[in-house]
Amino acid sequence: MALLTPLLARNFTPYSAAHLLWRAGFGGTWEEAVALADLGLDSAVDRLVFYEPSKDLPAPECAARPEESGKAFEERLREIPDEEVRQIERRIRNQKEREQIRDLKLWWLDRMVSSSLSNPAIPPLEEKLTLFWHSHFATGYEDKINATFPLWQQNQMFRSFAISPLPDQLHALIRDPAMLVWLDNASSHRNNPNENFARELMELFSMGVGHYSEKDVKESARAFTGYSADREEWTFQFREAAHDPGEKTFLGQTGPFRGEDIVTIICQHPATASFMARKLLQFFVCTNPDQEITDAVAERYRTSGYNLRDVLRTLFRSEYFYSVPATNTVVKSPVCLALGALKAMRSPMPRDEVFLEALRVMGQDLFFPPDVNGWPGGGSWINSNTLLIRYNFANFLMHGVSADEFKTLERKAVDRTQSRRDFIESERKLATVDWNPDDHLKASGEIRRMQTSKDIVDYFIREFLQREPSRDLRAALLQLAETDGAGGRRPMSVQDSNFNERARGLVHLIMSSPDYQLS
Amino acid sequence: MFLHTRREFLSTGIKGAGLLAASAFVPAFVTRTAAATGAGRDQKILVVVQLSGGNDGLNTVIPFTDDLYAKARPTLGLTGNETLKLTDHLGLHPALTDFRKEYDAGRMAIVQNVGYPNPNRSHFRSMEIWHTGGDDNDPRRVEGWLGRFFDAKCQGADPRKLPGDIGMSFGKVMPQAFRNQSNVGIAINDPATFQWNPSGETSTLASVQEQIFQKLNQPGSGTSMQAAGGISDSEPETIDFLRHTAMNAVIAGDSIRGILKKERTRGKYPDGVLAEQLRMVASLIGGDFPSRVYYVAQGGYDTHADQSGSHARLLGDFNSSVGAFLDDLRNQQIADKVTVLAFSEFGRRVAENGSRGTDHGAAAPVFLFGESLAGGIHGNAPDLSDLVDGDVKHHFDFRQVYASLLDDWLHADSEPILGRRFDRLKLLATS
Repeated sequence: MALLTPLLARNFTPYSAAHLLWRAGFGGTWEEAVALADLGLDSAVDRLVFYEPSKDLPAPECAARPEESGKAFEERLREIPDEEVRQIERRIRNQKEREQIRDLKLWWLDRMVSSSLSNPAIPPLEEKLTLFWHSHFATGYEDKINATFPLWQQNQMFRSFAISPLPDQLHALIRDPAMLVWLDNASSHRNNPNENFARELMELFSMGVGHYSEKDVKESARAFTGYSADREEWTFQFREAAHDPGEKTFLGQTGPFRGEDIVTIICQHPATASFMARKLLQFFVCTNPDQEITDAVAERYRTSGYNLRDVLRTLFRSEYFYSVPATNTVVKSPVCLALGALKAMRSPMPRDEVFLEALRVMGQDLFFPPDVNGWPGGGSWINSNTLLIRYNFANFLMHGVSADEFKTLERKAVDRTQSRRDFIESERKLATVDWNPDDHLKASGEIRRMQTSKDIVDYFIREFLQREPSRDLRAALLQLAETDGAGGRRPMSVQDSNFNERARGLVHLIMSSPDYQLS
Repeated sequence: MFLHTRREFLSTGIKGAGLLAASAFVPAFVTRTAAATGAGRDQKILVVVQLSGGNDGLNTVIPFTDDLYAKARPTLGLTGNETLKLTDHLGLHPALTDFRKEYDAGRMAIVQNVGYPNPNRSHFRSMEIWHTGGDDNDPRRVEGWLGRFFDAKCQGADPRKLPGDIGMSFGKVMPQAFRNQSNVGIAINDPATFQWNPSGETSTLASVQEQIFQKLNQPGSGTSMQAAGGISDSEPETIDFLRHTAMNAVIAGDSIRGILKKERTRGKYPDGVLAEQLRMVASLIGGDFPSRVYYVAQGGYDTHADQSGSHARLLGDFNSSVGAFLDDLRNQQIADKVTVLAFSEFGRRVAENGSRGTDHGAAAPVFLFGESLAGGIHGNAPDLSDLVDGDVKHHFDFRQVYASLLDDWLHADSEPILGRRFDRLKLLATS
């Protein structure tokens, strides 16, 4: 347990608070980090973890069930003799569906970026956990679901049970219509059980491979037969006639088990706490948690009755959480990277598809996880492709381009010289992000303190990187801050007519550094 | 010497590898690119097509005379007349018309019943087994079989004089098969965006920004081949890994765009992601891009329900994309350089389920295409009277296929790469 010893209160600095905000939420402004540090370690952590769950959130408009059910639509279509008219009808319906799922993504991103300790209606940790559960219990829109309502319903389930004990979460999960359809359990019948959900429940959602046999998969699949869903209303349905009520032997226990019994037995198995502890550590603390810390967290998780609030409170207060292997070593997920940047910029969520497109190409398209394993995170966020896109996304945040232009640049930026000119041209017509560094300096009240180019560089490093920079990084940025458009030496100043342009270039480079990819 | 912008050092680079190798921040990739224009040209190339999700092998190469097949597949089964017959007992799925032509010309090899001991029915674990080449009886591996091939080529040699042996993958993620010590894999989704854009309002400022960008992303010196294993809990190591990745990306992007701009391909490709990726592969091979291994993937094969239509669509796309690619290579007169391997992480359960689909299974056929192959069917049709847990037993180990390709096609010793000796199959006409 020594590993989970609390940090000495006096070592909780604004940098530590910024680290805590990145991990337990989506970052924030430097001002927020300073305010959190002022509370002291214990109160700061308690502010984050003791939040009131958002139980009864109303559904956004984009999550409404379609006025005409899929079935009714197909029936109406059959009555239309003209194939061309049928095609138009289909296109209209598809278009509507695309808009709905786009708006659902924007709705959630907006909620995440608006989450703040000063906004009790949207607790940062609740949204961060919702994102964790969305990846852990990964369910996708495409192919089987193709509707926003069940995904919103599931998203809201994740939100309302975000910090609940694991058994409560799993009991809710096995009745979730989106999940049951996504993993084919909805059509599982006693005569021919579908193993997909039963297998993933153990392999990915609770225990991990190696702790159960193929026989256990087959037996638990029998227990889950009949756990189904109405695909129009998206409600849970238990289909008695499809359910296999016979004896099953699962992980050494025998009985006429139902799905609930399987969950109970899974939660009794020691592998479950270990597997979940590792996943939580990888998401919140460090990329490669060692056995010792994993065991310590698993022990705490199990003995507290899977009390997640207690586990996270202990972790966020621990010396370990602020130690070298746990700080500045986790690759920010695309969502954290993008929203953290917006928060530091003090900018609202741009309501534009270009932002969504950027998240998709960086590898994190909400409601479209790569597969049932969710987003593996860690090093998998980074490859030659995604890293370049991250750096160029920073350019977009600083200079802003409209969705069409972004796509054109994406596809046609073949000739570098030409594309740079186009790019600068398009900056003038910025449509989605309009960020002015001088407004930022005014909002933080620091504009008067900017005497030299060093002050300016240090300001933006502090606001965006939120930790001590390496000497190389600071020196390189100073070089930029002291070079003018003609290549001569001219230190930048807030009085410059092109101050905003130069400052945007500076922040673009901060975000184009390897350091910025880590939190 | 110090070169001021990336473009400057690239243009210098064309003059010779010696100069490049002297510069501290030139990543391994560039030195090898420069060297490869001479040495790498006649090297054999492997293109891997991954069919993700578990392709139903039994409905791809169909044992239409087997009564047990018809019995196990009451709604999904295909009759002899519905298939493209290869022999008196076996036929291809009707969507595979181009493959049938390749087969008839002796340019397609089908290896039956490929798998591994104790088959794992998890997509992730089984894919990991295929990518790493280590099964559940081996110590867990994280490095990929192709990554170890790249490493083997690097071992003990002077990194500045190596031919290009990078791996090139199309798609959003780097395949685990490429994971290795030397970090030479490239994953590209869209070549057009594969560059860093400065934002300076004047070209001078833009070039200063580029210079600073390079400084920020300059890998540590002396780390050209063996550094940067990946993300770790050490901040400096992780940052070095990110720098390597960024530099390799920027330089590969320029090189790839240069080649693609010349539009070498000569084929009629269908619409679709797989076809587009293969079209770029054909261009890069034709343009002497220094990669010996290309990796593309087609997803969607996890057909648990209502399989018949979706499986036909998937196979149709697979067939016409690979067919166009092979035509293109022949038109460019480079077909003799290339072998294609297509695999899936597992086949599917012999008996269909109650949702007119199939669940995860075990052994299945793999497909190879190329002019140097010993075409035809290797191995017997699956024995449906001798199943294990309802699944086809494996007769060939997938690593026998890898060993054959490594030893006989890529001319690399398969034993250190795969960790032990696997009996090769006679997949190549000359082997």
